[in-house]
Amino acid sequence: MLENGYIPISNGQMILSLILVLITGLVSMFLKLGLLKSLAWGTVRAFVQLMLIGYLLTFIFQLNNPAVIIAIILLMSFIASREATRRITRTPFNPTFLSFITLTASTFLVGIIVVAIIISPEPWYEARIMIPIFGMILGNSMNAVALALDRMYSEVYAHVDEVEQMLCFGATPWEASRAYIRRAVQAGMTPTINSLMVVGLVSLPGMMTGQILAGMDPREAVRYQFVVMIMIAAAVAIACLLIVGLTYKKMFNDEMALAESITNK
Amino acid sequence: MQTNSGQFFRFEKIYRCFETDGKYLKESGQVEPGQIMAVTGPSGSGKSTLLKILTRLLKPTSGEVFWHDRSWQTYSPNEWRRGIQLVTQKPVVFPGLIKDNFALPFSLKKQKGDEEPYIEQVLYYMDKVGLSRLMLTQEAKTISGGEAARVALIRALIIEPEILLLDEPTAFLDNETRIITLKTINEWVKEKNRAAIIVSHQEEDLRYLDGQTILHLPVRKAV
Repeated sequence: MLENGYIPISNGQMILSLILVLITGLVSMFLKLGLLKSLAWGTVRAFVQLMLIGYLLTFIFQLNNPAVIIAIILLMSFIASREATRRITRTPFNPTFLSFITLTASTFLVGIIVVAIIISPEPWYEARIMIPIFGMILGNSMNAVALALDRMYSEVYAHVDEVEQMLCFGATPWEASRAYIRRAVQAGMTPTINSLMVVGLVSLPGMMTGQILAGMDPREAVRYQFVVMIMIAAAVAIACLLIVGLTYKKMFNDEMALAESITNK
Repeated sequence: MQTNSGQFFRFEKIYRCFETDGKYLKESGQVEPGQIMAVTGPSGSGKSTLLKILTRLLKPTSGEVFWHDRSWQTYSPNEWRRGIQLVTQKPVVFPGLIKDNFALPFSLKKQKGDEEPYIEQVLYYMDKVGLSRLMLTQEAKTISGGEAARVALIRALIIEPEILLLDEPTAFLDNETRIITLKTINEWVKEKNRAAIIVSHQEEDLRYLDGQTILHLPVRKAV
């Protein structure tokens, strides 16, 4: 049963797992939660989406073409930038494009260092390394960008008087909003720094558990996990800095005054 | 400083409509060194808006302001605001100690070269307006509204602007402090040969300001 160190799940075994859906369904029925329809639809969607991505990844890994890999990562960046800015509505401009620039730049910078220099597979752009690594960076940077942007606007909205007072002292927009920009970068980076503190104590990260399930020696798996975590921290730091650096000026007009969409709240 | 009429500081046909109710502001005026202009008028006439426009925090729909006979567009916004210093109606104090609040305007990059003999000035004005020197080491968040108003005023005076824009500087003050504060402003204008534009609700305030011109803003409304 144990081949290559991992135990595969056959189609039959996968169908067997539907018993678990039945349990969830019974709970919903018993308590009349009204979740049966969503549960059924969710199960079907999860199955179809995962199957599709499974085949797609197999195809991409076999193709292993750098242009295709880069195109896929750019597409992932685009989706992540839309997701990061979706719930941020009170900005005086649309931050999606600048989020895309931020996520693409931070992901490529850190991702290339990790893949080409630290892991260094043959060839260096190996798709089965590139795509999961870049995906993990993007997922985390996306959340950080969303937190930092949201925090920057809420801080400045809450401190319009202070920002304008600083401007009256002759401050530049940067000097006037620096204190709030700092809090925004902190807000974006804190979850990642916190996860560095508790990893292995409170939670085992998904990637590490995945590698252990796949038969990897846990001592090997933790080395990978460590690299991944500090890579995420670096990418998140760069992303937070970039996004606030690229967007804070948009809160000001060409007269170095706060935009009226902010002062007329 | 220039002394020819209108060459020091003047605003011409400042026009700005308010988005909501059809009201608008349309005003011209000028001040000379050593002079105080009192801006009066009912609420909604745009007194605070006028001051915000004069300090370039708000753009007018049209109109132009001249300082030393040069249009405002020829000055950088931070140079302009440093020289034409606004003290808002709601005094802003920053977290930290009161003395940090006085040091703040001198901590900015562009102003680093400025001389900083401000601490003697601070003490001088604190005595004048009735603030205890002990307050310097007090946390900003612990002071009252009336104290904050005077801290904000002193902080503006020590920047030594050429024109001081004051939006209801006495709103938070009791009668006695109101009079000494107005007298201090008056004295600063005369001794330093600077100008001030003061928005005031209270007719009585004007009694303590020497030789002021009065600019009365009516409520203007488009039909």
